[in-house]
Amino acid sequence: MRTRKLFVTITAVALTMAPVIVLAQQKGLTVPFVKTVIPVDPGWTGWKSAPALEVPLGPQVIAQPWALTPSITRLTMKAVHNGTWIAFRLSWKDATKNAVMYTDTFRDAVAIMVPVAKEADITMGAAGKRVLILHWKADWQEDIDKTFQDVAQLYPNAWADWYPFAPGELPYDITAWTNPEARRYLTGWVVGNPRSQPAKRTAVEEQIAEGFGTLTTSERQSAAGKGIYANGEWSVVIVRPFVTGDPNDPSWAPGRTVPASFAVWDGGKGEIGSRKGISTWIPLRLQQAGR
Amino acid sequence: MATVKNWQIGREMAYPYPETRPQRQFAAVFDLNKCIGCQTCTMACKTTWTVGKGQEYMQWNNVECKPYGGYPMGWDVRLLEKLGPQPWEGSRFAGKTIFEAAPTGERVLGFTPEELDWSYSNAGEDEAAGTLDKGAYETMPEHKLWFFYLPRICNHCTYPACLAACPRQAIYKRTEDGIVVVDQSRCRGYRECVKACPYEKVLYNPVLRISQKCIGCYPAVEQGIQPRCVTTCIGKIRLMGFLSKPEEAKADRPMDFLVHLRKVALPLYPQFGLEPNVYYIPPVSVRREFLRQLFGPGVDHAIETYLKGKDDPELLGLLHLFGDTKEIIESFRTFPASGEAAGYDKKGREIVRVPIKEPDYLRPFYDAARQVYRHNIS
Repeated sequence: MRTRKLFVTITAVALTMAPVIVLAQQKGLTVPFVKTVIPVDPGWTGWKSAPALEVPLGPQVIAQPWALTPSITRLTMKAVHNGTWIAFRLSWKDATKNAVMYTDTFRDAVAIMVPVAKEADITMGAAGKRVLILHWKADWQEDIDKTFQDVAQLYPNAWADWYPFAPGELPYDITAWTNPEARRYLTGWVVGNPRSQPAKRTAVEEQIAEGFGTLTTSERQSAAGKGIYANGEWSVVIVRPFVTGDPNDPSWAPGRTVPASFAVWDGGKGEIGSRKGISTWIPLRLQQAGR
Repeated sequence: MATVKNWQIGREMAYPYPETRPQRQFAAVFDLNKCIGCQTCTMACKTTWTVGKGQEYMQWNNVECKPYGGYPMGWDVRLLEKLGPQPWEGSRFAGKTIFEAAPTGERVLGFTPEELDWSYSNAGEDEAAGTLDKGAYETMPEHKLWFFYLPRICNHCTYPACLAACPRQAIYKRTEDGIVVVDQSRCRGYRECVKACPYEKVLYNPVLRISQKCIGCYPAVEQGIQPRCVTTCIGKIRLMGFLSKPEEAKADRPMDFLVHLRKVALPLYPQFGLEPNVYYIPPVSVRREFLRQLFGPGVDHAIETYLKGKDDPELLGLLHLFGDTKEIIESFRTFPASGEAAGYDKKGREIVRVPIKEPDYLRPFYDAARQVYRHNIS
């Protein structure tokens, strides 16, 4: 056990200290230019001709709590761009679709991370080395595909007499709670916590970070995405414009090579937060536009 | 990892953050000899705080019946089982705290309760340990057949496991009063706190998708008012105040007197290592072995002190101040000559004064005003 702990610690330290070294050793992926509008759809036929890269995912053993043995260890990644938008198609095998969170269950998710400047630490960046993260979540997807998962959806047979000042009738759909007296009890919503907003524009949340534990939702949300679960596999498309005018726009552009890394969470195995499988930095060679 | 001093376990221990005690520490004492399990405290807290969406199952304050009850079910026995037997050497805990017993890659040893475990808060109610044999009779000092109610809120621990476990530092301990709160804008619902808290007093809201917990009624505390669960207690079993460090204990401060001086009020599962700040006067007739597991080695002394209460005017006086005012009693005094006890606020203003012994009223056999005879009713 102690030897294993030592081994794991050494690996962790090595990973932390060598983001650039690791980059040079990765095969990477060429991101082709496509002269078309890219739909937010994993089933788009345009993906067929895009090259794929198998991305290995490994343990997250730097920030506690660790994921010593993450559930998902392979991710298939494709990416294309049309000069304005960059799009990723990420797919992985997951035995169960976990898109709804009860008090003791978690949901599937995937994230893409790119440094805002030239480079950043794999540890979700570091102080002064910001990263941009595009995080797709299965529960947000469920809210969009079906309806916001309120008490009536999570617990169809549940009963509550009343909620103070709540307008309407059973089951008291919270999207109708526009009066401040009722909303007092929806703390997360009222203080603007993105996790607590019933209305979802898209299933992807754009975030920034400068190291583990500093994850912050971006003020401007420019990414979009969609995930479909079929035949034991998730296929997720995430798109974002290269340039939005946001100070946190990464330095990616057609013709450049930028590093990206990935993380996957298997909700069915209790993965959330720091309990995830992560990749190293993968160089993305963005093809020149217009050809 | 830092090393911090935990007076409840009589030694230093490992904790992810350095020792930083608040200016004042929110604390409470519950007298378990008086709790009747009426659940008024639970309803008071629920009506005040957990009547929103996603909070339907939440009981930031709960009252469970020991030995078999628990909210969530088995919260304590499951953790005790994970820890295994852990020894005390006198008043020094020689075993592993939940921080020291944390598995590789984890900050805390804990578990996530299953959803259904939250549904049975009344299971085990009034179910006694032991069997009622024919011809049985009450034995002292320990009853053969026993059960008691254990009311619980967040303990606003000095070394919270929830705070330690959060990878985003979304839980903080207020410096002004030591109340532990979850930042509702920073929490992302990872639920490491739910898993870590050995008392299972952080609860996940599945509608807002963030975690929530007892806030010590801090808006009231800030105004010098005791929490809802304390003021509404019908049995007057609770008192809330501020606890000083052991070396700074003052005899006229209610919490210091009960916890540090008389040592009649004990922490809940001190062996977990969190230095919880809700203290209990143990129920005197319950099996000692059980009580020691719950409250540590101070049980025998606490019970002995409590039973000698009639000869301890200060203790008796202070116990009589429980439930007599909604204001926080910063200091107290007993008056042996007049048989009274009084409580004072921060400025020394008298808030409340009560008799320690109710006066006797002798009523005539015939009541002329009502034209009836008074009879003893048995």
